[in-house]
Amino acid sequence: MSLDLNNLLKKLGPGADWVSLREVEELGTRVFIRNGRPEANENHFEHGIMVEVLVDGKFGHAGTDDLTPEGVKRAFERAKELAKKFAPYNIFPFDKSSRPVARGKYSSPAKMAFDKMSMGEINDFLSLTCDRLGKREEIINAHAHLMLTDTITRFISTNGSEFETKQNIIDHELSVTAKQGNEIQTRSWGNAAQVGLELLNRDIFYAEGDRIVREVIELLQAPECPSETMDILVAPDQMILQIHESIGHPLEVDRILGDERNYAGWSFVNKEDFGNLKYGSDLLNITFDPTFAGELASYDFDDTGVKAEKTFLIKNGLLLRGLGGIESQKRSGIEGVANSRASSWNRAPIDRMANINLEAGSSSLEDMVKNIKRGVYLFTNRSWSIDDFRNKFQFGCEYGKLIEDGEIKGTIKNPNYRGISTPFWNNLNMVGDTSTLEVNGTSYCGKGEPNQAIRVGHASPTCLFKDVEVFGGA
Amino acid sequence: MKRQNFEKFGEDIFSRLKEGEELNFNLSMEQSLFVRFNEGKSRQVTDVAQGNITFNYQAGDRTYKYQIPYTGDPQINAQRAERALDICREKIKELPADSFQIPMENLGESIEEFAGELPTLNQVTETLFEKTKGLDFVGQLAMGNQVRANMNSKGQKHWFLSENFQVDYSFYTDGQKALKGLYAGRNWDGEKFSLELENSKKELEILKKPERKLERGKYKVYLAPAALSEIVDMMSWGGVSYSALKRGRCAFKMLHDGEKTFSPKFNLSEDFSLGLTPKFNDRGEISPKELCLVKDGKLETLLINSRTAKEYEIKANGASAYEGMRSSKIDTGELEKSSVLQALQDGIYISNLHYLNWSDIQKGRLTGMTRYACFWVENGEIKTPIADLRFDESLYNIFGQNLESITNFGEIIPHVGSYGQRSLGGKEVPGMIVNDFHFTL
Repeated sequence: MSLDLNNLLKKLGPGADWVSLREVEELGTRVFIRNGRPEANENHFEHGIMVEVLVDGKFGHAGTDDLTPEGVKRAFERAKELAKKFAPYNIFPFDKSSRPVARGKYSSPAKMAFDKMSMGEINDFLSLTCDRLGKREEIINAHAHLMLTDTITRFISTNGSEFETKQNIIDHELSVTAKQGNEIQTRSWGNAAQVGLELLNRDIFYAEGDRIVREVIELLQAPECPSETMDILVAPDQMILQIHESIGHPLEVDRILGDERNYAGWSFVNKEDFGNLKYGSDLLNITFDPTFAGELASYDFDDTGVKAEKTFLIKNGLLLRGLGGIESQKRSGIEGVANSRASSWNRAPIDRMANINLEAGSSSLEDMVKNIKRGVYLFTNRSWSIDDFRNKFQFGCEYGKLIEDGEIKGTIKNPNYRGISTPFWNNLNMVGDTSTLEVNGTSYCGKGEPNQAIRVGHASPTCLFKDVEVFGGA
Repeated sequence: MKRQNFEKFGEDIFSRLKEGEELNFNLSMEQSLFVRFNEGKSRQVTDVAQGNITFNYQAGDRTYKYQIPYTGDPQINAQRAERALDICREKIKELPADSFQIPMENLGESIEEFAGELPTLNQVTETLFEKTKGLDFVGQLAMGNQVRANMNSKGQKHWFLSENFQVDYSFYTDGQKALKGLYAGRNWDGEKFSLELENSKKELEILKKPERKLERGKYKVYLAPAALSEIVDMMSWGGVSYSALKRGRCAFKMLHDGEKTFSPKFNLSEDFSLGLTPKFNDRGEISPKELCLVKDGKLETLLINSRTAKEYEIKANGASAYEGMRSSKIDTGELEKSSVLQALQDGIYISNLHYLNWSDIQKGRLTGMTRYACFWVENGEIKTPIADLRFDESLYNIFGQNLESITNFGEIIPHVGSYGQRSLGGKEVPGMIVNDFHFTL
């Protein structure tokens, strides 16, 4: 049951220049079916509040799940004590302009509410899907996983903000692992998005399940991915990682300011690079877009009350803007976006990605394939690693296809590639049109001290890169 | 965070159970302060009071889990628990039978409380900000109480409380090179930490030398304990789990199948005598004080939880649901600290690694980056810091034929993670000299 935030705020008393209450209420449902049997049937409920105060130019935070007026008052007093105590050592003197007035309501574009299916019906749906996955004798493990999350965030502040964000989120995954002799391969299909139960379309789940079974069987007999420098055609379910790790993270302004150097890392991007750095080829257009309907990290306001709008970060390859929330913008002087977000009520907001999308180009899939003399077509991320400045990356994929003389040839296994961020993006040679575009998301972007895992979305078409170092398994 | 309140909570809810119902629950609670700093100044300061309790409810052959908040208010907790029990009863009616359900039993009682002496806010500001003036000091102090507890309707009771602190920090030079440190414990000693900071400042000098860019290739390396710790962490992600083996995603498969062995020098175990984490798991099973996983380079056992054991008709060994290591230890060897550089002779001193991932899990191959203070060593002397390198190497090479020697000392490295809540646990690891370590970028 939601709280009377207005009443709670009024009762807090004096001693702060500005105060906000951010209440988060979340109900999650998780069903995991493995080899046709239930492995997890779980619900989780969490409900807490973050009290944020501004005292002497310092923000102080105190989160509590004691939601009585006394509990919230204790948190308020603690937040004030901390802000006052640490204000003399403050990295930057903030004022009330760092928390603009925000009013409104946001809801995910879900058509079918989560309570329209019982946990038993979800079990039935996933069990039938899982049964289809495990029919071949080579399949040693098959699972079907679904997580439904209803999150409501309510924000109120002493300068008149009052907004609510309701997100309905589904994470889903089908996965199969097959074995033949000593060869073991895995193929999976999944996504995370703001959507309702209309997502659970039996025909689509069956078709995708049949596809990954067919592909994992192919992988058992497939040759290793060749090791050489060649072209790569990257499908959207691998582009998600490529964008995330080598564009999203380096552009986070708190990283550029050094906040993350002890954990997630720094960035090769400097303040002076905005407006000057040729990040990628002319075909590279990257947007911050929390307005994309149904994409995982869509919202109207971030957790500081800044209005979310679609904004170009990179246009025609040129770096224009950083992923910095209002605090980072004031500290750095770099133009930013509405991306100050907290993972839940128990964490303070920091610069996060939200939806970072690669805008579609004009090339058809056929045209891109025809343009490749020798290369590989890469699908579905399975391994990811990049250095703390976000330069040297290495990614691996579940499934690949060899391309020779403009034609897709046979399946290859264990495809990997490595490179360095800006040279790689400057080798972006063709960008797929909207027919190749997919909207993907992940709920597990990790960052921050204390650590925060947050939901991010990445829409991308299929893209062609020239002259990449590709290699196979051990 | 009162044990008596928790036990009363349990007794009340167990008294409401009907015939055929069983309940196990786990409590996770903390009161934490997080002080985040950058450039020797305060970036964010956050206090968190949180708790949650996870019901594992069984009725007949069905199983359902429900997690709810647990606060310091006994009345609110009791109301929430009553409602939660109603929800458990409603939900379980819809569910299919759980083939691998483990019947509950009373596996005993335990109480462990590790009280500490945490710093005052004045001590925190003095140490973090006054004693580091003029330095580029970045990181986080996390401190407070953590509770993990378990009860079940058969009478089982476990309680673990730890009061502790961790200062996880880095010093940076103007040339973007850094030295990493961790000061952690239960009793704050400002003088000891100040001394550590002073030593760190001196060590920064070597990092100010121009960095050397090494070509990709194979190098002899020294993996300092913090670097080796990152590789050990990977073993808990599809390495030492029996379930992972059966599901076909296990980096120890070749070791399990006898196709490969590690060096006879390599010994790996779970060692709960370190006192970093509760000995009980989420079912309330007490792990053996020491469980050998790899002995003289050969696999003794993988981690097996009760559910896995039932599915594959084998014996469990007290593992957690996740079958990852909670308190791991690699045995020390004979290499003395003072001889490390001489033993390395010409090669790379690796203090830390970053962002590891399996590049080919079936072959035990992993990739990652060097990070922080890593140096080129020539004729047994540290020469210059190096530009970061990417490695791609197999566990079977690192801990097998290429393992030259292991230090005669280990370091206790506590888990510092805080996704959702502060972690418990950690490991004790030595350093290692490894030949032909493969760098690829």
